[in-house]
Amino acid sequence: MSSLAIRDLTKRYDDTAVVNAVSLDVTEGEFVSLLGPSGCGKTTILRMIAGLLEPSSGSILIGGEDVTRLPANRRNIGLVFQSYALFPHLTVFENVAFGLRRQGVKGGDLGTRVTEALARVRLDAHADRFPRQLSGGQQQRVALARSIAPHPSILLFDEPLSNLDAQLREEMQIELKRLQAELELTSLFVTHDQHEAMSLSDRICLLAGGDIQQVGTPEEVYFRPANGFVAGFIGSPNKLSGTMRAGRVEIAEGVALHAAGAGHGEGQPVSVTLRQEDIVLDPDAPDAPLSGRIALRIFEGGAVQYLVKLDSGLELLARVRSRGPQANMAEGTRVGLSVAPEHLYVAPREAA
Amino acid sequence: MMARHPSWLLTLAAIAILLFMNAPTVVVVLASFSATEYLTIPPQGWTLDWFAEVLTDDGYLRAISTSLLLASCATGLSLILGTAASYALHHRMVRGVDAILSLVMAPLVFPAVVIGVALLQYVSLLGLRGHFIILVLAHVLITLPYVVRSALSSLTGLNPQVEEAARVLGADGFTAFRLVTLPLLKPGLVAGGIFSFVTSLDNVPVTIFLLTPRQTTLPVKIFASVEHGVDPSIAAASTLMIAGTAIVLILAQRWVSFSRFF
Amino acid sequence: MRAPSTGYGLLTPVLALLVAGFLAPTAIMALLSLRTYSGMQGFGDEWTLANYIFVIGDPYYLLIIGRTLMLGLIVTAACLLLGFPLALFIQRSRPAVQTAAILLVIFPLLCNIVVRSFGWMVLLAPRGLINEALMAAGLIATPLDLMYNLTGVIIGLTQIFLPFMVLLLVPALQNIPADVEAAAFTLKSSRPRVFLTITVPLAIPGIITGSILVFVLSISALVTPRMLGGPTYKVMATQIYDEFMTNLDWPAGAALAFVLTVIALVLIWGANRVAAHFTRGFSA
Repeated sequence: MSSLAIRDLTKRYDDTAVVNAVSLDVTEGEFVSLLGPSGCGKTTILRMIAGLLEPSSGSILIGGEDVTRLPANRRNIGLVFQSYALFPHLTVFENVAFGLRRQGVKGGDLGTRVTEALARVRLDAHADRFPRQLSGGQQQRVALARSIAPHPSILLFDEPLSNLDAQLREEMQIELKRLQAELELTSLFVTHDQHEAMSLSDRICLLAGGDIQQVGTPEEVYFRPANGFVAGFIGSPNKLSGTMRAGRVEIAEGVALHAAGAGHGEGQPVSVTLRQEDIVLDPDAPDAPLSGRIALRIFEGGAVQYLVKLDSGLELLARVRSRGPQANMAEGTRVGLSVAPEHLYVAPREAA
Repeated sequence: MMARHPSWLLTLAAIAILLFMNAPTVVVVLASFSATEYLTIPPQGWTLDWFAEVLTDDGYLRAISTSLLLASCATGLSLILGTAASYALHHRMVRGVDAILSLVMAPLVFPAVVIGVALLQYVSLLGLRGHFIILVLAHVLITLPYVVRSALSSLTGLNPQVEEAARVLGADGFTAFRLVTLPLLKPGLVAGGIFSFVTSLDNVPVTIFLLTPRQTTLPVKIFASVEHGVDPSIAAASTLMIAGTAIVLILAQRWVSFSRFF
Repeated sequence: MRAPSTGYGLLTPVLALLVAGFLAPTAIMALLSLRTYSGMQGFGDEWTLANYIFVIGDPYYLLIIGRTLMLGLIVTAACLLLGFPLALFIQRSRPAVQTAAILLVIFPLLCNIVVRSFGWMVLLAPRGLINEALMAAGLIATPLDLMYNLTGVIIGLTQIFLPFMVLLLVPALQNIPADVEAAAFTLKSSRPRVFLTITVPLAIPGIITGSILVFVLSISALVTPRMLGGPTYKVMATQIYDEFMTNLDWPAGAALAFVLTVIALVLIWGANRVAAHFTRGFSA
């Protein structure tokens, strides 16, 4: 396993930069996610690292060696595709053996290493099958075995779980995490799913518009978003617009909230991000300065989501734990709402 | 969805039309086995003499071997050149993909007889008339559209990530193509190759202008022979061609759906 | 990462063949068709339109051009008339019947044109199967002239190009959503009315494509008109053949070839535009 470093990596099409001077370090054995909405440049970065796309400028280093100009086949990288990209005309065994054969591994050694890789994903009994005879989850596990069999120096994942259904996705997440820890794989994982990124990653690199927004542990990204975009992307936020009035944020006529560290000038239009789970509902304080009526209650299993209609007409979504004390409020109940100032993310906004 | 069935009138019409479409081939086969010079209904006796006549005739045998050799060479070359070109066109590796594609397809749009006479003039001016390689290249020209169309449609159906996976796993461009893309293109290429072979084997309007008096292909020989009237040995030669086509079609059914061509 | 040089490397053989083996011959023929010519001295050095004026002005050539176009129209109409019911039958049949019928359509298509034309000679000749049968049945006293005239060529070409028409009409009909017709029936439309107001208009792009294809193939056909029309009943393609192979008047042949090419290309270009227009209209 090796470390991965990218330096000022840039990809331009015509004059538009889809990846803009991105620098990132992944240490040996670390699991880093590239997280962002579609079109943020995350897959472009991954393809450049794999050697499938030529960077406009910048460099890529694997284990300290500059591989920027090296063709894909000489980078010794493992890549797991969203579409699995198994070779449909080859058996599971031959799929996994493909990379090993390119390295010149032959005979008994080949069989041993293929079986070992397949055993790691618990598919050693299926070596003689063809990909089409396997389920989606099994195919993805073959793809995983195929990419780890040649002992790559780094492992790249391109949204590998997004074609699986919800339950299978969770199982595969656990399996991936287990495998990654066992083999201490240096991994870069592209995803648009924040839950996936949170649960798998040592660190998350959040991208938007080709630029890094924040790099940090899942906790850092969640609890200390670097800017309004991160705050709005992570968690399930309410997005409001307001104006600074007397050091507070006015989100509707006569409704103003305290915000921590809001250093914005009087009258400055701002966008406000407010996580659903950061809103505290209190049925015993119906006359709080911020109050409203529960318009909708949605039971989600682990959580209960409320749509609260404020007296000003504004609607907010709030989420509480389903075993918590606020889980059983009926629709129509009047509640007071409060938000800790540090949970309010305020960013300047162009006046409409 | 409500299932619809053809009315009996439509069924009757369809049967009649299908009969009309297949009548000439059936008649040719019957005539080739008929003991009489002219086919009658009911036929008066059967014989294999006409086949014996064709298969012992030097002229026919040479025409058959020329036809098969020409079709094989043209198809082989067409497959190699067409697949390479399709790969470059599909991946848009060059500028002007649409223009190049139109040019490749142009021999399909041009009246065949025009291509034939244009080549006749050209080859005569260059003093190359009668060379077998000229015939082969002319046939590559007219079979290439089928190979390219078929290869392109197969390439479109391919998951581009499969070849990328091979490259990331350590295969260089050519190895990835040989071990992954080519096997996956095989059904399409087999179909294109069969269509190309049949097209080459059948061609008269281009071939006839490029032959010297000493050369001939089977269809051109049949075409020339009927100037002297209908003869049962022509029917026997024709039946051999029909049988060949039928065998190819039956074999092809195992691999491919012909609908891709239409 | 793919270098453009690889792309040109892969395309060069095909491009070389197309330029040297298709564009160059066509261009040279175009140039030679504008040169003076005499059978003794070969090509002259002067530019002239005489070959075209000769071909378009001469009543004999005009007759051949007119006859070729009329033949094309008749064959196209015949193919539509026979192709539509067969395509409709295929579209409405069970899958097994569909496969069998399509095989019976494709088989003649793959059979050699020379062989099929020869089959028609066996059928249509003065002592052919049809005349023999009709005379044996006492319906006619002397053989009908079914061959070496317009009748023979029409029958032959119709049979030869009918598969193209059917194979283009079937997908055109299958693209019509079944519920559109069903909806029309539920609105109490009669069967012929639904056919004329729904089925036929929706199949128009296929009808246009099929008709143009059959027309262009018919006016370009050499083998069938030669075999069933004989050496005397001539169309453009057979006349071109004779100019080159018998009369050795290459410039006249080249001029006639270009007239044929222009007709074919203009028709195909026009048809693509019309078909595109219709396709847009329906998908919009």
